[in-house]
Order: sequence, then C-alpha cells, then structure tokens
Amino acid sequence: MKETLIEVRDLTKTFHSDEGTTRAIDRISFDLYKGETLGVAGESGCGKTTLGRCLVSLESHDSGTITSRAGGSQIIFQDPYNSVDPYWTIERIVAEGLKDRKDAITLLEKVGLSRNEKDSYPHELSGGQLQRVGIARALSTNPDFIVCDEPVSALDVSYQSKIISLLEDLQEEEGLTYLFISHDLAVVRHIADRIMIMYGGQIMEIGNTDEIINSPLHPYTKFLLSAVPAPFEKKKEFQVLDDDTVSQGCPFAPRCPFRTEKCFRERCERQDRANGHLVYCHNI
Amino acid sequence: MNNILEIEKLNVVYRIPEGRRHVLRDVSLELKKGEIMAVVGESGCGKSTLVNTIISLLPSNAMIESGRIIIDGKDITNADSYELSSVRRNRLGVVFQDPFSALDPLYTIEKQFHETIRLTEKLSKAESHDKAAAMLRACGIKNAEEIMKKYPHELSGGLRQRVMIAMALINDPTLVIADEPTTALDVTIQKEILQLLRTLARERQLTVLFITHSQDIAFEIADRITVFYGGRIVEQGTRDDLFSFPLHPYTQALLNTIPSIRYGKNERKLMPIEGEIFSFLNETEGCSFAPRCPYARESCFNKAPAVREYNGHKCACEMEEKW
Repeated sequence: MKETLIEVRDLTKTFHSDEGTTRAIDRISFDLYKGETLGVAGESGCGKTTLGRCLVSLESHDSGTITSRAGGSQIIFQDPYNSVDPYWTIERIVAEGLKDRKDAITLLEKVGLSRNEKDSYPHELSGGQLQRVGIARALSTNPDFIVCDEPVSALDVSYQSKIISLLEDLQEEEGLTYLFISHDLAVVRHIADRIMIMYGGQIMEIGNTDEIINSPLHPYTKFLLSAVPAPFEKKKEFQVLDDDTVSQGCPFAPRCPFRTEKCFRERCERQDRANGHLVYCHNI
Repeated sequence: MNNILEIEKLNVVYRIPEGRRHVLRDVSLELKKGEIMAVVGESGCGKSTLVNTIISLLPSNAMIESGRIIIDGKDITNADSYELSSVRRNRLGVVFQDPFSALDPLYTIEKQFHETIRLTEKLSKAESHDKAAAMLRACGIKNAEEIMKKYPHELSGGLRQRVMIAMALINDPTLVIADEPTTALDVTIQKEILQLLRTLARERQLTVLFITHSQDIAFEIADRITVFYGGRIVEQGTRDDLFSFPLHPYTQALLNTIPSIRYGKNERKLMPIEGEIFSFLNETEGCSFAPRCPYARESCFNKAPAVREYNGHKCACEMEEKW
C-alpha cells in the first residue's frame, strides 16, 4: 500500500494584473506518494511552476488544501546562477540552513563537489557544478520532499545526465520524494514513476510513466507526445485546431479535435482507470 | 559548382589577456544546394563562433587566422564592408535564437519588412506590403495583414519566430543560417517551426545551416550532421550514418548521455561523460576531447587527430582499431 505524503485538494491560485485575473492553477487535486518521483509536464504557462512554488509555500494559494506529512520541503530552481547570492561563497550558501557550518563540507562532498570549491564564488563554477550547490543547499535542511523545478533545462547535455543521476542516487539514499517539473518529456520519462500532464492550470491526465507515454488517453497528452523529437521512430501525427474561443470547461477544448459543445461548458469529471491512471476528459 | 557554402581549413583566434586562443581549428565543411546541415555541440564548442564568422559579426578581439569562407562562389574571407553588405543583403538570411531581441521593439512588423525589402528592391510601400504579406502566409501565418500592424511584443514566441523566418527569407537568400531557432520555444511550437523550415527548404531549394545543441532536433531536421567539440569538427556524416554508426567517442558518449522518450526509469542507465566541458583557456595541441575520452592514449594529448573519411562519413580520431 502506497503511503500518501502530500495530499492536494482543490488547489487554486489566481494572479491579478492590469489585464485582469489569470487562473494559474484551477482546482486541482492529486496525491503524492512517499518515495516516488512525480513528473509534471506541460507547456509554458500551464501552471506547473506555480504548483511547485505553492507546494513549498513560496506562493500562497487562494483556496483548497495542501496536507503534508513531510518533515521538510525544499526546492531546486531552474537557473543555478540566478538562485544564489553572487557575493556569497559556496560554503556560506550551503551553510545558511545548517546548525553547524562544518556540515557544509560533508554536503558538498555528497553532491560530488570537492573541498576545494567551498571558498569559490558562484561565477567561478560551471552551470553543472553550481546546480550541485543548489542541490546541496536543498539537502541542508534535511527535507523529505523536494520540488525540482526544471533542474536540468539550463544545463549542457553532458551535465544534464550527471545531475539526473545525482538526483536519482540521492533519492535512493535518503528516501526523498520528488515533484519533478519539466517541459522536456524525455527527461520526465527517464526519472519519473508517475507523470502528471497539465494544461491551462488543470490536470489533463495522471498515471504511471509507461502508461502515459505508451498509451495516453487524453487528446492533449497525445498532442504533446507527438511533438517530442524522436528521430527514426514512427510517430502518430496529431493535428490540433487553431481556435481562440474562451472555454469555461476544459482549457484544451478550443484546440481539441474531439471537442463537443459540452467541453466548453462543463469542467471534466475525473475518470479512474486501472493502476491509478486518471484522466479528465468528457469524450473518453 | 553547386556548393552554396564552402569553408576551408578555417582557424579563428581570440586575443585575450592570457594570449591567443584558437576557437575554431581546421574547420572544413561544405553545403550543397538544397541541403540542411545541422551543427551540434555543447556550449563553448565553437558553433556560435562559426555562425559569427560566416556572417562577419566576430567581436573585435577575434580574427580569422587562416582559411577561406566561400558563399555561393564569393570569397568573403577578406571582403571589405561594401562587398560584405552586398553578400549579406542578397545571399544570406539569418534566423537568430531569440526573435524578441533580434526584432526592433519600436517598429511594427510591416516597417521592419519594408526596411529589409528596400535594401534590394525599389518597391513602393504597397508593393513591399504585398510581398511581405505573401511571405508571412508562406510561413504559415494566416492573418498576415493583422500581424504586420503589430509590434514584436504583441506577438507570441512562436509567431515572432515565424516572422523572423519570413524576414530571413524575404530577399530570396541562397543560404539560411538558423542559430538555435527553437531553443526558447515549447515542444509543440518547436515541432511546427521545424516542419516549416523543412517544407520551405524543400519548396524553395534553400540551403540551411542549422545550429543546435540538441541531437534529437538535429536528427529530426537535418540531411547531414556535423558534431563540434572544443572548436574542432569531431565527426560529420549523414543523419543515418551518425545515428546508426557513430564513430567518434564523443558522439557515442553523447548518444548515451541524453534521456530519451524511448526509455523509462529502469530501462536504461544514463552514462554521463566524465570531466568538465572543454574550455579554451586550457587548449592543447592534441585532441580536444582527450581529457574526457575513455579510449585516450598518450599520443592523443600531443598531436591533432587526423581526419579519416569513409564514403563521406568523416571522423577525427586517432583510435584506428575502433574503425
């Protein structure tokens, strides 16, 4: 039986600006199990980063509940250079959350940096090294749960795999739970146990990674997968419509080839399939 | 003579306080008419320097040490500014990575087109308007008239990139250089832009030099692929050659280091490439990849690797027994 670590119910977050209100997250509910990696994928503006920030209380939510049994939560940011103070040494950055400054060295060694780097400043390190610092800093408060917000998107390919492997090893050693946010489905596919596909602030589909990738149910998931570059593979083409009508129901309705009038009017009910595969669509 | 772009033994150096550093070493490549060539490499491998050398936008502390660049039969290596602007005007189109900083925020799209068109043709405002609208439509923009009245900030990233491509093509160039044109875009938009480039290349017999850091994109769009590392071409061949028979240790390592949509969590272990990415500050005479190469021998560190060629598939590696 999987143990639930974080329970999210009807979470909503709106942003207000001169142009009106934007619903970044629209009444979403899901469970995060202890020790798993839940990948969150979707295009820019789908609400995935806001969701991650809400889960670690960097952003307050408007309504809904987040019930967490995690001992501590942390976040690793996308751009390692912009998420550290350029005037602080690496040791100080990592030690900020520690009781004993000496533990910083242990943490740095744990993430694959050497003692020599402790007195360096952020600009002296490569992107890959600095992302390790970001990981060490996240580990410094001994969290159970870490939000990884696009942790490898800003890195060169030869560093990406090192950071991914490091995150995997740390998860095994420490029993961490990850919410892994990425627009790159190949990376999510590699690291996640389950995948959540988001569009327009709502969950479209959530399920085990293999099922989502190999037998997606939601039209949006199919569309997203058809766009991933996969050379020398036979791919199913998926054409979408080009319509900018505002939908009160499913956010994907304006582009969905299978839409009906109901899709624009009513929000989709959750449909449960085998193995915890959930999909939100009127037409399945 | 049907090579649109020919680069022969190009060496580019940067002068920095520590001395001279080679950023491109013995780079040779040629593009035939209608061909799409992808240049793949990580940051600092010299791919952007290659673009800047071809369009003569090198910073003032950089210079071409030796070698030749020939675009459509015209040698531009030592061309003066008059000849250069003629080449840029008539034969070159460039699509930059970030369309927002490449377009002028203070002018409408129409004005920017008008300015570009007037460089080569004496057209009236109405004529240039029609020409631009037709090109935008060819680039998949349906409401071209509406788009032309707008300013760059009013357009979405995908639209801006389409406008950028249309602008690069408006003067009917023979060579288009696309420098990471989809890096800032979502996968779904990226796919549309790649398809657009492919279609345009086929329909208009365009020759495209496509710079990217992603092998997957290179395999998706290119006819031939050149892999750069540390300022040198390490491998070059057709996309089938490079995918099925990668020869250079770096190309092989790259293929094993990238997560793929084909493999899930426990199906494949990623094989990171050990060591740090090549930096020009500590350049050597030998192979750039030698410090990270699992097969490196002593000779690899001292001597530049010879380029071997088999049926157009080139590889710069001394490890002969691996062939």
